[in-house]
Amino acid sequence: MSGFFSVAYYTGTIIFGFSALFLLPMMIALYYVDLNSLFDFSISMSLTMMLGIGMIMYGHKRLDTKESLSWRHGLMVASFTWILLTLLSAIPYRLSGYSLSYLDAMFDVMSGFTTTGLFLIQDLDHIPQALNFWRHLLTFVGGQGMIVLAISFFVKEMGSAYKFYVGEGKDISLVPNVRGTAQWIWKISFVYMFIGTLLLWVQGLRIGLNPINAFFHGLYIFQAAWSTGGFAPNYQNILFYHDFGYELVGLVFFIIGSFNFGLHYALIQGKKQEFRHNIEIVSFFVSSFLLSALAVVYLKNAGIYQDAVSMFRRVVYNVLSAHTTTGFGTVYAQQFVQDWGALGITIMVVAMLIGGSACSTAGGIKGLRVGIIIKGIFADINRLIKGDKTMRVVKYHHIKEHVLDDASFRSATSIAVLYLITFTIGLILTSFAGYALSDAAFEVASVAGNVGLSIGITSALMPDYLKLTYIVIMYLGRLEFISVFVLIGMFVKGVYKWLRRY
Amino acid sequence: MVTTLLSLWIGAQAQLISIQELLNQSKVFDQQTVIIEAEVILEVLERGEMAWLNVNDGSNAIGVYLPIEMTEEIDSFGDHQNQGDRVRVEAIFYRNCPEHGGEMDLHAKSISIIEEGFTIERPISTWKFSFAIVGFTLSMFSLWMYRMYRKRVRKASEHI
Repeated sequence: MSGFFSVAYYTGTIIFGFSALFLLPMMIALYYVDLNSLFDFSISMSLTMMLGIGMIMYGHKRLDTKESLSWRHGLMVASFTWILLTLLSAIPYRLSGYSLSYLDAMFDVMSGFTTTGLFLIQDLDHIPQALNFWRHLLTFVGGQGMIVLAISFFVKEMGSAYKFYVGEGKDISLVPNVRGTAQWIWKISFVYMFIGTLLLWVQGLRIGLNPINAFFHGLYIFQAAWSTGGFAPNYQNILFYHDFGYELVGLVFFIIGSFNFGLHYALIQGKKQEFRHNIEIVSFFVSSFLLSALAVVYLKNAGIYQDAVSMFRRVVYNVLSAHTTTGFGTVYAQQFVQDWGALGITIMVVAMLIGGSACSTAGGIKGLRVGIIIKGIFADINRLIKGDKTMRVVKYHHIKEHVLDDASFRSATSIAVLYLITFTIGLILTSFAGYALSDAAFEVASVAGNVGLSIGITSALMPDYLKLTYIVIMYLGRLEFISVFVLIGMFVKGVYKWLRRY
Repeated sequence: MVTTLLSLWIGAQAQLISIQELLNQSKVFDQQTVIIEAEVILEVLERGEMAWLNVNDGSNAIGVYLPIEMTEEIDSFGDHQNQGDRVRVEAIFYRNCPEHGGEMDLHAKSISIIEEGFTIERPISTWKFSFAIVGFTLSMFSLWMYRMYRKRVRKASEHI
C-alpha cells in the first residue's frame, strides 16, 4: 500500500486540473448554439472533476503516513493518469453518438493523446464543432504532455514532478527545475500556435474558406501539425484544401514539431550551431533524404508520378509525414496499396518506425536512439578493424556533448528492441484477423510509431480485439514502455499480495 | 490488356459509381468519364474562375474541380447543422491529376442538384439536460466539500 495514497493524490490532482479543459469545447458549443454538445461536455467535466476530487481527498491521507514518492510511483502516476484521462475524455465522444461504441471512443481519444491520428469516429464531416475542437485539443495537449500541463500549473512539489515528467517519456531539462522546463515547453508551443494559426488562417482565406472556417481549420491543422498528430477537421484530411501552399505550411510546422524541445530552446538562446551538430537533426535529415530519394526514384520508374511537383506533394510529403510521425496524407489509403507497392510500403514502414526526435511531440523509436545505435555499431566495427587496445572515447552531440558509453547504447537499444517486439506482436495479431502481411506491417508501424497514416485497416468494422491491441500499442509507444511496465508490474504485485492474503 | 479493354468500354459509357469504388479501381477509371452522387461538404473553395467542391457519398470523399458558375445553384453545405445538397456530377476522373500536382480528383463536366439540403433538426435531449444539471450540482458540491476538507486539514496542522 506504500505510495498508493501518493499515486492517488497526484493522479487526482492532474485529473482535477484537466477537467477545466472541458470548458473550452463548451464555449465552442455555446458559440454554435449546440446545446446537446454543451451537455455532453458538461457531463464529462462533472464526472472528471468529481473523480479527481475524490482521488485527491483519498490520497490526502499520504500526509498522515509521511510517504515519499519513489521513482516507480512517479512512473505509475504518469501511466495511470493517461489511462483514466482516456476513459474520461471518451465520454463526450460516446455521448455525441458519433462513436459506435465506448471502445471506439477510447480508441479515438488514445489516438489523439498519443498524437497518432487514426480515427474510428463516424461521419467526420458532420460531427459537432465542439467535438472537432475537442479532438484537436486532445492531440495538442497530448503532444506536449498531460503531465507537462499539470506540472506547469497544478503540481507544486518539484521532486515528485520530475518523476511524473520522466514517466511521460520526456527527460530533457531546458532549465534547472522541471516546472520551468514544462512552462517553457508550453511557451514555445503557444508562440508557434499563434504564428501557425495566423499563417494557416491567411492561407485558408486565400484558398476560399470563409473567415470563421479559415480560423478554426487553421487552428486545428496547426494543432495537428505541431503535435505531429495528423487529425484534420474533415474526412479527406489535408487533401480537403487542394492547395500546395496549405500543405507546405503544415509541412513546415510538422517538421519543426518533430524536433526536440531542447533544440527549440537552444535556438531561442541563439545557439544556431545546434542545428548542424545535433545527432537527431543529422540522423533525421540523412534518413529522410535517403528514404524520400528512394521512394521518388522507385515511383518515377514505376510511372506513377512524372513531374517534380507531383513527386514532392505525393511522395516526399508522405515520407516526411511518416518520418515525423504526423500522419497528414496527400494520397488515399488505396493508393499506397495500388501504386506504391511492396517497396514503397517498406520505405514508409521504416520511416514510421524510425520516427521523430526524442522529447518532441513525435513518436517512433526516435532519431536520437537510431543515431546512437548506428554510431555505436560503427564505433565497434572501427575498434575491431583498427585493433585498438587503447580506450577510444566516442561522443555524440545532443544539446551538449555526451559520451557514447555502454549504458547509453544499451538504453537506446532496449527501447528500440521493445518497439520492434511490439511491432511484431501487432503484426501477428493484425495478420491473424486476415489482413495481408504488407498491409498489416504498414498499419502496425503507423500505430506503434504514433503516425496515423492508414492503408485501410483501421475502421469501425475491424475486430474489437484489434482495436484494443492498437490502443495498447499507441499507449506503449507514446509513454515509451517503462512507465507502463511499472504500472503493470505494480498491479500484478498488488493482485498477487491480495490473493496470498486469502 | 484487360484493364485497357475495360477502360475503353467504360469510357464509351459514363457510369454511376461510388467514390470508394472509384478509389479501389482507380487504374480502370483513370481519365474516364464517371458519374457520382454525393453530398456537398462545408463550402465552395473559390479559386478565381474555378472552384473546388468537396463531396462525400458516405463511402468516401473526393474533390471536384469545376468552373465557379457551376456552383451557383448550390445553397446548402454539409456540416453538423446542415445536410448539404446532394449533387449528381458527371466528371473526368484523374488518378494522378497533372494539373493539380498528382492529386486524385474529378474535373466536372456537368453538375445537377438531385436533392436539396436542409437544416438538421436536433431536439434538445432531456436526459442529457437532466444529467448535466445533476452532474454540475454534484461537482460543485464535491468542490465545496474539498475546500472544507482542506480548511480542516490546514487548521489541524496549525494546531500541531
